[in-house]
Amino acid sequence: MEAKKQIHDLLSRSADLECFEDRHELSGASSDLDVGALRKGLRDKLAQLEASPNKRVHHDDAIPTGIAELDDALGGGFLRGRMIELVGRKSSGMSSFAVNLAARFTSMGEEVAWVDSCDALDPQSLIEAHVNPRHLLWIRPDRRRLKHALKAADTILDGGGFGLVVVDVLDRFKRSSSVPSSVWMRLAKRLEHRNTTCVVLRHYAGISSSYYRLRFEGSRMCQTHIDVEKVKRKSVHTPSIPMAFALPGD
Amino acid sequence: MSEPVKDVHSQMIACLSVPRFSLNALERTFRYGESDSLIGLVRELPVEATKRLEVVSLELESLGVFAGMTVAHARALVPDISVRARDSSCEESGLDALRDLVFSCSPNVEIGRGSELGLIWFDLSGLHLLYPKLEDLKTYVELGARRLGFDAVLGISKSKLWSKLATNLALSGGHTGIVVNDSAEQRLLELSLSLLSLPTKLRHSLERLGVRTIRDLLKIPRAELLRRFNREEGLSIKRAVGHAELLKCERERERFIETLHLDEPIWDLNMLMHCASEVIERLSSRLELRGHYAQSLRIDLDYDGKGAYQTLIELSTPSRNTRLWREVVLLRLESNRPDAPVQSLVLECITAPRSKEQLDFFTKSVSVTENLNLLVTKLERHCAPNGVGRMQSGNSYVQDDAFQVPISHKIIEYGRRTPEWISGTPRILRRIRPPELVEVDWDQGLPCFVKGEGFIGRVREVYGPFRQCGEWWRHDVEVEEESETLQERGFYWDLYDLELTDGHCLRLLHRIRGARSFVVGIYD
Repeated sequence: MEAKKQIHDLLSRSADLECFEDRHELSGASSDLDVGALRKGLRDKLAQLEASPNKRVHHDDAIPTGIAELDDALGGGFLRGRMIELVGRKSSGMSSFAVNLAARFTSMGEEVAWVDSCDALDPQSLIEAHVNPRHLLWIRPDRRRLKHALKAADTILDGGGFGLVVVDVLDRFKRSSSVPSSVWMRLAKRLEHRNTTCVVLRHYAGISSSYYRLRFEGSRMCQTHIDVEKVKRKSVHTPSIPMAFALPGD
Repeated sequence: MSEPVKDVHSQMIACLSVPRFSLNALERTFRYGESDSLIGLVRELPVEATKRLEVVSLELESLGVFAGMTVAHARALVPDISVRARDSSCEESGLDALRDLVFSCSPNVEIGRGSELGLIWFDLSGLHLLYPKLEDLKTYVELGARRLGFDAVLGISKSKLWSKLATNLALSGGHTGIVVNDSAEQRLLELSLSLLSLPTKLRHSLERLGVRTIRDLLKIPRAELLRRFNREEGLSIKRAVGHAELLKCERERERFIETLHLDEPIWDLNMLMHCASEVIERLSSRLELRGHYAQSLRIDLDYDGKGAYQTLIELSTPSRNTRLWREVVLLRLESNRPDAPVQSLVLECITAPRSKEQLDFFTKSVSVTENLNLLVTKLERHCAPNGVGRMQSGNSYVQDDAFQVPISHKIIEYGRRTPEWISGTPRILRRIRPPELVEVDWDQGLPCFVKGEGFIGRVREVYGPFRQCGEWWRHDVEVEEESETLQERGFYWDLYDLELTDGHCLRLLHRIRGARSFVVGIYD
């Protein structure tokens, strides 16, 4: 991706050079440069890059999400010791994605903690998603207070021993973006050198300490789309990845 | 490659074996010259030519001197041999150090005495959470022992005896010493009965029966075998076939003392501190293993039999910093210079009481199960009553009551299964608790417009109705307020899954009696 960007940049500069040449503003030394040949070479390189399959670093210890395109974009899946931010509006499919991730972890015999700040978890849905309830610790903070939810998440990450910690701070009415970034930074710091993956569910993006940000765009019952963003590099990695759902009654 | 654990619920015992324990204990206390690598130990002083060597160094073994030889025999083979007597105070101090190491892994520890000196067993149940790979644990313990001055090997298996045999396998080379799966156990089964420390009479009896290996012993029906022998012998047989044995657990002892004996008395304090630096490092490692910090240091100096000097140094803040310790000890000794050359030095750490932060989860001296119970207790402070726990099945007819969360201190059950990869992605409902009353417009028996708090829109797609009824057979449940007669009990609902034009996907509950509609959750 970076290489392509650089080549596009060089191509635009070469166009400027041509323009200058036409206006006879280049010095003699500069006019020795064969701009046409340079542009041709760059175009060839760009075509070559676009034709080649998208090679990404594949991590062996990553946990696959089950969506092939997404796993490819994430380098094999979610890495341990990282914080992942899931962002989307209501009914965008974030919770379904997180529950399916929890199902994967519990099926591997790992422990999952779910901090349910707004008491919205539906046990029946979890069972339908094949989450093993024996490996799930459900934490419902007192009076649905965000402060308690974050403290509970901090306690869990400090304690360790969990494969996945889901921090659900989606609220029906309030904005969860009011959480200071230092809180997320602290949680991300807790994760370092641990075997835990932390997934945070939010309506608005803004956790700068997260490793990946997955944006969910969808409002249909049957499908959603996921955009992957690597937060530290500020670059969108993929075009939208479709994620299909089973329809009610199926 | 990591060996998969067969069943983590079953007991797993680790055996830490220090083959030359007495020698290592002496070496870490006494500072000898390099020529003293050819060293052998007899039980007690005086060293006489007819006494038998109990432990010999590796270098001596390579020259053909083995434990059990007389001193005279050994001297004939290696004239430069240095023979010393075992020192019980050094051994006790060495056991303290090893005790600190194993208590940092497990609270259930048995320390071998007498003929089993140098063997320490500890229970590994639940430790797979801290050490997913047993190799990591093995490396941690063996490296820790090396830092404390012991050449140790760790064996892991399902019983005390088998873990001891596993250390023998590791010592013989070519095996990790981790015997937790069937293929590894096959190697143990081939071992001769003579290795099992069975009573001689019992071994002979078994040999007469044609039983020569553990495998032979396993083939004989257990009941038959136990009927033939008495109770003591029966227990020995059970041990031999890997039957779980309870450890004779010891209490923790938090005594941090290290001693240094010098062959030549030293005047120079810098030289003394140079010699003592190893002792200081070891003491700091021991404190680290147990999660302690030193509040004060007690120093005992022995002046070559011409008196002694004792001092206590209070540290301004609890510390494990060896550099700081060296500096403060040197400063104290410089201000009170020794009257005579120093022959030996005893350093003791008096630990600071544990701070609140130190009493946190997963301090290594606490078992994992205890930590999880602590974690749940701590989480309960942030949660509603019954707000933390795992789900349990309840009344499956009433959706919101289908699962209840009990306060449970045994939440996490250990166990690993092979991954079951899940196909398909079901849509998850986010509950609205309590369900929200909404206004619904109906068209031909189906909802066409929904208005509620936070969502409003025309219905784009309808799935359902999915009819639910129940509880009508019970007389102890409350009657729905809309029921026409008291005889009509239970509930009758229609559930619809809706897609709205504003992008919301809802689950609508329509009470047939009373014709009221609620949104019970939003699909997300």
